[in-house]
Amino acid sequence: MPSLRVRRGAVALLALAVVYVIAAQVGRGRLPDRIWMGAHYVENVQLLPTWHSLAEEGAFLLESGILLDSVLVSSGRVFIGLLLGSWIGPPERL
Amino acid sequence: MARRSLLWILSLAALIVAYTLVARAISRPDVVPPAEDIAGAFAALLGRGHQLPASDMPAHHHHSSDQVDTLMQEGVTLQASLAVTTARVLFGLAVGLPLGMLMGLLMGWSRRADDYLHPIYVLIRSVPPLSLITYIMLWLGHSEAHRLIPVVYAVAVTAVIPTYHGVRDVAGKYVVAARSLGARGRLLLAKVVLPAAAPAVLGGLRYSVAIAWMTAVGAEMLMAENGMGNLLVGGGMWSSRLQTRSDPAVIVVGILALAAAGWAMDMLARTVSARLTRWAT
Repeated sequence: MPSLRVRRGAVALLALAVVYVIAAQVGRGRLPDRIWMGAHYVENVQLLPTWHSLAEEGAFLLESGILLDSVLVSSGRVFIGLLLGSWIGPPERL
Repeated sequence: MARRSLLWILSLAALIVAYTLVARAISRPDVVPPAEDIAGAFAALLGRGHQLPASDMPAHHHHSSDQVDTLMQEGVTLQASLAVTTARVLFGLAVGLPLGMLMGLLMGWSRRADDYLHPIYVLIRSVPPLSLITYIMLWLGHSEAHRLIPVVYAVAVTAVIPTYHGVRDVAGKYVVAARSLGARGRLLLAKVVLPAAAPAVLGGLRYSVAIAWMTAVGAEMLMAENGMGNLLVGGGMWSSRLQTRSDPAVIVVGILALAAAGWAMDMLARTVSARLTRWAT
């Protein structure tokens, strides 16, 4: 039996996901799909992608390895930054 | 106090002398600009017009005056760029601080709110502010919004934690003493918890100021036609498919100006914090 704190956290995250699903469904067809950037425009833009689109894009990014590579590169940079930063050390008094 | 000021001036002078010597020893003005180039670029960027000598530059190095001239033609000055970035930072602080403090206060004061909001906060704070720029541009177009919203967001996210801990860590004896005297609800919050949490909350102000500057300049470097970020990228480094030009003096002037502005705002935040929490010392 998860603790009250964990259950409440799960409820909050679930509520957030539900709100997003509703907003994406309501926005479908209502939100503009042509976005103007100055003199140019981008077409077929989903301002609030549906879960289906997100899953599809997520699967592509996973299968192509793009997501994993990007995560590894960024994590490596964060790790090196942490390592060097903590080695140099914060000043005693800011 | 006078001794401290003297030490400040001496250490600054020593730094300038050391830099000048190192720049001369390295003799690579395209990477480490001499102090006189920096001073020249500084004067030019203030709009006092000058031309730097190009005699001792390597052939592949396009001299800084090209860059400074381009900036001058575009009406870019150091003070105007600094004013624009400062305005964005102040906007971010004015909107982001109340939002972050409110969320931190709510989470710190109510266990129930903390349980519900904490996981969402952890998710939100993991998103780097600059990663929002493209999505904001899709929603709101190419406008001031994609420079301001990341700063507001960064400040708000940073302000949550000190407020949260400040309120949560208020010494139990204060709360118990106030409760035993009959203080409840709003009275307890306004007269005991908030004043006791103030040092921690205001301590977070300094971090928020630093984060606001970092985010504002980062956003300007990515997508802005003005401000310090634009000055650093547009003035300091320019590239096309055919050539790359750089002016390290402009970059150094920009970095020094940012350091000075950040330091001044940090001093202001420290002074305000010290004044408001004088009772705690």
